[in-house]
Amino acid sequence: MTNDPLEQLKLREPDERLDVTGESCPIPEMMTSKRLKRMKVGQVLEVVTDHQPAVDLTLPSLCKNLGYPFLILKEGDVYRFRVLKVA
Amino acid sequence: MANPSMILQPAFREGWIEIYAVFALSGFILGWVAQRGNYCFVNAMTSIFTTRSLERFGAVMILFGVTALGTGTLVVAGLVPVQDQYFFNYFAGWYTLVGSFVFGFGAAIAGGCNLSMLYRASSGYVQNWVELLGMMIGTYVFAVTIWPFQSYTMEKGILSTTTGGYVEYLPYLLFHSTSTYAVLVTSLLLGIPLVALGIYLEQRTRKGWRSKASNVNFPILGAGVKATGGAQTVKPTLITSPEGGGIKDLLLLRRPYGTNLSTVILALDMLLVFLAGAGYTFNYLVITSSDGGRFFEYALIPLGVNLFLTTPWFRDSLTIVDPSTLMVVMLCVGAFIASYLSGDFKVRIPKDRRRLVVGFLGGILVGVGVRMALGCNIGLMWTNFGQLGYDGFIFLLGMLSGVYLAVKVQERW
Amino acid sequence: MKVEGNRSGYPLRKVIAPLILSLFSIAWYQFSAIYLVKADQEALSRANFAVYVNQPQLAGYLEATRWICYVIVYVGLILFWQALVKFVRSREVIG
Repeated sequence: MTNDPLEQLKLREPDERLDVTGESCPIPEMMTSKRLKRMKVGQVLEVVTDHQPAVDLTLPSLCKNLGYPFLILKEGDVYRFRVLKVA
Repeated sequence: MANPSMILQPAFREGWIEIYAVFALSGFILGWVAQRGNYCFVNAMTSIFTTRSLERFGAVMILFGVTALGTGTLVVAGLVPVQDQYFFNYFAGWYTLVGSFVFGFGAAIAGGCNLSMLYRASSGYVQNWVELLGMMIGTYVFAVTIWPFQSYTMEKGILSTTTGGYVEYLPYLLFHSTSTYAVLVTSLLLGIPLVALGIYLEQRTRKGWRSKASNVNFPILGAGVKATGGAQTVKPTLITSPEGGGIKDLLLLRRPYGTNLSTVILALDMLLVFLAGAGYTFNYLVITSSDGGRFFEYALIPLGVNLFLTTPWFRDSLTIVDPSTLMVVMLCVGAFIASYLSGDFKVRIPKDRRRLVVGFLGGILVGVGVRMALGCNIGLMWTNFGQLGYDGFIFLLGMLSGVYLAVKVQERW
Repeated sequence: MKVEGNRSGYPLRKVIAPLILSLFSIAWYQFSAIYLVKADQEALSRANFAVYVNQPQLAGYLEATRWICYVIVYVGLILFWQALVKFVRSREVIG
């Protein structure tokens, strides 16, 4: 398994999934933050959301504050926001 | 020395049609920009506690500061008579702090402040429709249970001022004057530190990002990258961050408005109604009298229930209609059109249906809280900075506390 | 990041939504003209001046609402027509 965080995000099956479809800010960010706190370093969280501002603004902001790499995938109307929890 | 005037004086000689039209336009702009910029006061505050991000809170500080400077400038320049700035200043009291706390808590668990509740409801979020319904119920609950007691304390001055207006006007409090000089100095004293604080908070947050990102890349892969669940397989392309791109992308609604751009437009929007409505009506942006109060009242009128005749608060505090009514309707229209044209409009129901119950209960708290506080984050907190009053600070403190508690509660759920 | 014309065709909600907007604006104006005017008269007859709105202001509200209604109806119909064309075209492609 590659050490490159982005490759890990692309190829690895997420360790946890958080489905917040139908929710708007601040719920995706709050739930994501809560879930990430419970996860171990090295695990990948996939947040499923259809709230574009969460993907454009708040979730990237969360990841930037925490220093976690992230990746956004789009599947129809839904976004899969993947975060790798790093040390 | 005579007390400052408490007689409104219009800035322009205009008809009511023009005033309603300007407020309608202002509401449209408010809804459109808030939707495009995902402008949410609650999110600005929850971010402080969830992600330690002060960027959006900083933008709100800039909004308040620019508004204070803007209204002060218009008064100092003689375009708006000074009494039109302080005439509608609120009473301050125990209810401001308690109400803002309840509001902050309710809004954070329900998923939006009054502004975001409306523009998201207009974008199809069922969660916020339910929150709006809860808010209407909460307004009624407040009217029949809390308002009689609260109005008594306001009347008697029990932990409350007994009047608003110039009594709560900071230039008058600081200089015992409402002269041009007093207004100028006060708006500078209030506005410049707020803007500076906002810029500092934004810069500090971004500096933190840069230092954390120094060892990690943050490119974003978009389009339909091959993923689990049988998505379309499309060659991934590296795209710039959503905040890249030019004015053309903004105008064609291809990307959201940045927080600072939204802040500036919203501040100008507030100044528009401040100028146009001066001397005629409550010349600031206000939402909750209409969405929580009037819409509930209107919904019952065809059923033969006239709250404006029978129920406390409705019968003594809420005119049948005022410019904010049309403003709120057009806020919803503007948000809807913005979300529709940008492709964002969709009826969305939370996956976890319990969230709808939480949204409803949170909405009730929002309704109770804003009526207790005599306004919401828009109609009281933000507006009061434009009024050069101090209620906005009290509300800010209460709302932050309520949001903090809501975040802690949700972390334990 | 918009995805248009996916495999299931142009969404029907985008065709219906502008119609609902137009209907809403008509309903709002009619509600105002009928019920709010009556409510205001009722408030006046009961001498409740805390809620009563004077005639010039109410007339201004109704006039402004009427014109805004016209604009929204036209905008709604334009959006509806555009969406309908896209919807029919997407059906033709699928069919």
